[in-house]
Amino acid sequence: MQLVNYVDRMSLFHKLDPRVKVVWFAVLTILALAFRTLPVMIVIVSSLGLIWAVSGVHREMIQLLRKAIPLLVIAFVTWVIFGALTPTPGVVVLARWGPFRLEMVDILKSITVTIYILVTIGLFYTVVLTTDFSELADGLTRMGIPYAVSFAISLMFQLIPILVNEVGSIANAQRSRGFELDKGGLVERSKRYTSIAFPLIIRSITLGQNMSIALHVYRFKVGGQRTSHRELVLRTRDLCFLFCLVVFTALIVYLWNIWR
Amino acid sequence: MLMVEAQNLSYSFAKGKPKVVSQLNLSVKEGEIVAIVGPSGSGKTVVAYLLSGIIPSYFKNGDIDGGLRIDGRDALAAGEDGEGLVGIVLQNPEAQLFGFRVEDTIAFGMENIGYFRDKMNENLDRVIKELRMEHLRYRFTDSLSGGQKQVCCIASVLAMDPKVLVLDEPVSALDPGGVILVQQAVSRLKETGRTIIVIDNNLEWVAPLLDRVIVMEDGSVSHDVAAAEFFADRELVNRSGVTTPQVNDLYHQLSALGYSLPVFVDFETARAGLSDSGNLMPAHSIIEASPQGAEPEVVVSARDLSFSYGDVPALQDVNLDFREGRITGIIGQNGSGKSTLLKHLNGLLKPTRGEITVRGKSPHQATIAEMALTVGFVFQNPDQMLFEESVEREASFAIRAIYGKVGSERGKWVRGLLERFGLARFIDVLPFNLSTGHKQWLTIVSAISVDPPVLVLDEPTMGMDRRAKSQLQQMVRSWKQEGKTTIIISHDLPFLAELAEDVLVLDHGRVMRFGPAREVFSDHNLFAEINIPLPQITRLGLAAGRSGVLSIGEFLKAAAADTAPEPNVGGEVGVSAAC
Repeated sequence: MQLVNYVDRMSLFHKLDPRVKVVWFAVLTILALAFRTLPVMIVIVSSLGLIWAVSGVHREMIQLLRKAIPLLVIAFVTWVIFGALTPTPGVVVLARWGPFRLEMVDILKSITVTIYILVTIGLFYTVVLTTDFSELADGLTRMGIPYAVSFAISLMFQLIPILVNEVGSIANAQRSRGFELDKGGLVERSKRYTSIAFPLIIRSITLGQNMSIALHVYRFKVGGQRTSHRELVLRTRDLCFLFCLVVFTALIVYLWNIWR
Repeated sequence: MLMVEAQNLSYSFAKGKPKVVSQLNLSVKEGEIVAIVGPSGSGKTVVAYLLSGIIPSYFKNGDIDGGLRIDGRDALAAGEDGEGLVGIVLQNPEAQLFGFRVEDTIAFGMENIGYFRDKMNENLDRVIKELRMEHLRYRFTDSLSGGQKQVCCIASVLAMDPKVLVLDEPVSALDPGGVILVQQAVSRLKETGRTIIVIDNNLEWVAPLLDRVIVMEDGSVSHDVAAAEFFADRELVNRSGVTTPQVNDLYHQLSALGYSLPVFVDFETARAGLSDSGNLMPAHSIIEASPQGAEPEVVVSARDLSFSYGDVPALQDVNLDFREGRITGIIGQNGSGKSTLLKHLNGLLKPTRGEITVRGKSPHQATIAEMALTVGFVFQNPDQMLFEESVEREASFAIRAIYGKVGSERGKWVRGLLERFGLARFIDVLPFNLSTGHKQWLTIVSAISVDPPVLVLDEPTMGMDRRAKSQLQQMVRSWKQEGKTTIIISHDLPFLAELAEDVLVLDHGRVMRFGPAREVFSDHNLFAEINIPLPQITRLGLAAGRSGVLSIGEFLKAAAADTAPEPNVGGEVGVSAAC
């Protein structure tokens, strides 16, 4: 099963130094959080769309965002309901039902929050889809994050698909013996799923121990001094991108000043 | 020069506990390739861990006695300095690859040691060249085949400049293509003078490369002999439970008949030996006896069956019929669609296009219980199946899942099965604590406990020794006598050639060939196309211009027919004069 994977392309965004991408991710996350207004969100999401298109990951992003649609709908509806329960004096009221007062401002706020969630998901996956994990771990380490932390993150991405496959295989093995896993109520189902849990725990322990021995063979030490075969140098394209990021930040602050 | 020297080396997991390695004495010279073999529990893996320093630097609580010198240095007392003298490649490449691209993976160990970039690049270039993996250098590791991953692990360990390389069952998880890749890699390392210790009871893949074989029994060395001497000694081979090349079995059988031949360790030595002996190559073709009576009923039928995982096609337009009472073998590289096809039989997968029926019914129209009563499925890895608190409960799991309770009649039947498979003495044992071999038998018992008419076995011989394989063959033949249909996925071609009546060859989700085993195994071009080597005995037959030789028995009969009157071959197989 494919969860999230690096998409190999030769785009400018792919070629950027991983540290530049991490800075871009951090700056846009802060901008989205600090200047959370609809025009700002629209500009940020548009810039993201542009990056997805030029880096050739738009298809993968659309697939990922499709999976996020239920979450976005829930967020939108929840904000509309809460907004309708907290009236704001002197604004346009669109509809009234008992204690609910649906105002234009509620709709705008809900759209803003929904786009904000979309932006945070989009930012994270843009980095993941355009940066290979070894490179990302290297970049984070050069930025002062302990290698053990960045290695753990990359290991997690390696392990999750293996364990997901394990669960599938174990479930198939039990079903093939006539065992219906999804039968009965919640308690009954929980009991039934022990037939998966036990083999999964055993397999996970075995896999963990094998990996631990392998790490020992490769003389991996948490906190140990290590070098890198990868040469990370900030190139002209990285500096140009950082300059564009500064201009973009100024534009966001300007927009926010106008629209707040 | 001695590269490895163990003197009276003993080890127990804790002070006062029994020794798992006892008074071990062995030595390995520089540039030698040595195999350490022995039955399960003989201490091979512990020796691998001792040699590679995993004991005592990772498993610290054990009790070690004696001495171990690697390249003249005291490996047990060397501490930090001793690290890295021996590199080890483990069984499962998935657990030993850390990095996104091949280059990152190979560099991982060197980065941890703290090599400077120039040295790292030098080593990277060297091992990549040594193992001829230039084309893989920038590939993503998750896009590699199992064999390529294992070669990548070998490169990662070699890049750390070990003096000795230990390979711990390096091909046990690989398909035939993967085995060939690892075999080629080890052959190249032999050419460059590397010192290699192979810990494996399957010597089929490495036999011609070995200089010596060390046999372990009960934690110590029982025999330390030249490879040729080991392969010539039938009793020693059998006693150590080692799987040897098929031609080595042929050599033993010919020796027992009184022929004096040089020992056969691979196809080439066998062909040369037989050719030099004049009349030993088969001079007759094996002709399949015509089937008697009407064709058996169709049990499984697939029509235009296609299946995709997301956008990736796994099966494409598969059309076939499996017939009642037949034994069918399925051959193909990993990812060729073998398991995907069989998962359609009990409804674990639903066709993306086309249809499949089992006894005229779509698996999706039946309940899970109904399908389990029709198709018994034995998965490759027993650990994915076993979870009950006792062997008896595990064996009767399917009965309880389907009928709700076991009952006295069915309980008696299950106990009978456990008796038949040699598991009766473990009836109250936790299945997890059984040996791998016993776990495999238990999963088979569990699948056949509801007496299904169709049985699917996925890689059943993995990790089995010669004796166990023979037992399994007898078992499958007895099911056939009962009218049951058996479908076996296996990379073990000699096993399938001897057992299967029909063979299905899959490649990239497509049926390449489906027909009687003898016809399929006669098509050497097909096997070359799918990069799976034919059984050595079949190749020997082909070398003499005789196709369709499936077993050593047939080979000997075909050879004997040249000098003797036409023999009677048990009704199923006849031998006639060559055209």
